[in-house]
Amino acid sequence: MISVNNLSYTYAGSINPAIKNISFQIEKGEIFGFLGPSGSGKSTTQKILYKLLNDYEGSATIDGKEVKSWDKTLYEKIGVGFELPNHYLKLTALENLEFFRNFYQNSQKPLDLLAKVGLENDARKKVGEFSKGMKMRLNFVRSFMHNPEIIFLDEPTSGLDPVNGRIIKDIIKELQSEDKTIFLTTHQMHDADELCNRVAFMVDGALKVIDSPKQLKLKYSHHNVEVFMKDQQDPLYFSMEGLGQNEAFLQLIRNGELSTIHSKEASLDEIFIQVTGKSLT
Amino acid sequence: MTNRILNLIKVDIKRIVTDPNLSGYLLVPIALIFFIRYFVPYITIKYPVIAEYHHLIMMSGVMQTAIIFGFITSFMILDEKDESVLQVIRVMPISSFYFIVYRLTFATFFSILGAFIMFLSCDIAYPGMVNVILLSILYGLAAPFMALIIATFANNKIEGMAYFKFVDLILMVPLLSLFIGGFLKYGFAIIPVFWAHSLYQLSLDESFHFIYFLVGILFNLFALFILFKQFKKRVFDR
Repeated sequence: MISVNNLSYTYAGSINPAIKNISFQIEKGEIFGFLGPSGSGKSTTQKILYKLLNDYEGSATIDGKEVKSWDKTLYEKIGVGFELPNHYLKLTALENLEFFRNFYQNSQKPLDLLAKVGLENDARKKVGEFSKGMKMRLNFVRSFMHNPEIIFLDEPTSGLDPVNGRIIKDIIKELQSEDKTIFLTTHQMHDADELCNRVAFMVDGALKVIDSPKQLKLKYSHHNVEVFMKDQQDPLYFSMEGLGQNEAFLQLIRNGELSTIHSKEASLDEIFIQVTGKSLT
Repeated sequence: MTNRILNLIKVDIKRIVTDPNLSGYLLVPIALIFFIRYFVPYITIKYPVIAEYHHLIMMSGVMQTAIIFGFITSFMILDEKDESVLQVIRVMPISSFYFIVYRLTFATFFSILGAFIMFLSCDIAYPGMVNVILLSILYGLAAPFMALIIATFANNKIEGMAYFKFVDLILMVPLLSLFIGGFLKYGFAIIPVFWAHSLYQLSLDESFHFIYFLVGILFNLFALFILFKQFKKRVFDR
C-alpha cells in the first residue's frame, strides 16, 4: 500500500537532511505507528507521503505509484488528520464539514460523522466556540469523511479527555476493521501500543527500529517478575526463566504471603529510550 | 466542478455576511455612491468650480469601490491563513491554482459589478455605456491586485490593514498623471490603475480609446501574474 525506499529530504537552505535514507513498507489494513521526538523527521516524511513535498530523493509510492507522480486524485485515496485544528472558526461544525465534503466525489453524511464523536448536539455551533478537544474531534472525522483507503493521523488524541480519547481509538480500530490503512503519528506511547500493528522509532531523521509492539517488548524486556510481599516495602525480583522450578518463588506462593505479582514488561516508552537513547518529550 | 464553485461562493458569502467586520466594509461602496450621487451635485451648485474635478472624484470613488472587494477577499484569505485552513485545502482534490483563481475571480466579479453600479448611479462624469463597461473591468482588476498584495505579505489583520492603507495610497498616485502633460505621465504607467484613469479621462467625451483598455489589461495581468506566483510560493505552498 505504502512503500518507502531510501527516502531522503533536505529543506532548501539547510545543509543537513531532515530525513536520511529511510525505508519501510505498510500493508493494507495495517495501523503503522510513527514515533519520535519533535524535529525527528516525522512531519517531513508525512508531508512527502501526502505530496506536500515533491523534491525528495529515493522513492515513496502509494499503491505502486510514485507519490510525486500522483495528481490531485491522490486526495480521494488518502485522508489527513492534522495535529492542530484547522477549521473555519466562524462557520458551524456542520457547515465546515458540508464545505469540505463538496470537494470529494463521495462522502459520508456530516451529521452521522459528528454523532460518531459525540458532537451531534454541537453541530450548529460555531467552531470558534469549540474547545480544543472538540476541534480535534472535528479534525478527526474530516480526515475520513470521504472514505479514503489510507488515513494519516497526527496526534489524534491530543487534547482529548480519556472518554473521548477512547472513542477516537475505538473508531480507529473500526476503520482498521474496514480494511483502511492508518499511518499514526503520536507521542502517546500507550495509544501506539494499543493500536499499532507495527511501530517505527525515528530519531534525527533516521529510522532506528521497526517492529510490532509485542516483539519489541519481548526483545527489550528484562523477563523478570516483580513480587511484593504483604509485610515488605521493597519488591523481590525473579527471573521468568525456570520460574516454575524456582524454589524461593514457589515457597512464597505456597506461604500465601504475596501482595502483588507483575511481569516486568518494558513499556514502549522505556524501549524507545533504550533503543534511541532519547526520550519522546 | 460547478457544484464546487457554487459551494465556495455560498460559503464565502456566508463568511462575509456573518462577520460584522467584513460585512461592515460592504457599506463603503454604498456610502460612496450616495455621496457622489447626492452630495457632490449639491455641493457643486454651491461651488461650481468643483465641476472641473468631477471626473477625479469619480475616479477615486470607483477605485475605492473596486478595491474594497479586494480588501474583503484578502481578509478572508488572512482568516484562512490564521485558521490553517489553507493547509487542509492543499490536501483536498482541488487544484491550488483553481482555488486561488476562484478567490481572485470572486473579488474581481464583485469589484467590476460595484464599479459598474457606481458608474450607472453617479452621472457626474459619464463616459458612455461602452466605456463604462471597459472602465468597470479595468478598475475591477484593482481588487485582485489589492487582495494578492495583502494576502501575500501581511502576517495578520493588523498588518493587513496597514498594507491596505499603503496600497490604497499607491493606487491614488497615478491620479497625479492627470496634471502632468506629455510623455512624463507614463512614468506612472507601472501602477496598473494608471491605465484606467487615463482611459477614463480620454473617454469623458464618450469617444473610444480601446488601446488604453488593452494595454491596461496587459499591465494588470502582468502584475497579477507576478503577485500570483509570490502568493503561491509564500503562502499556499509553504
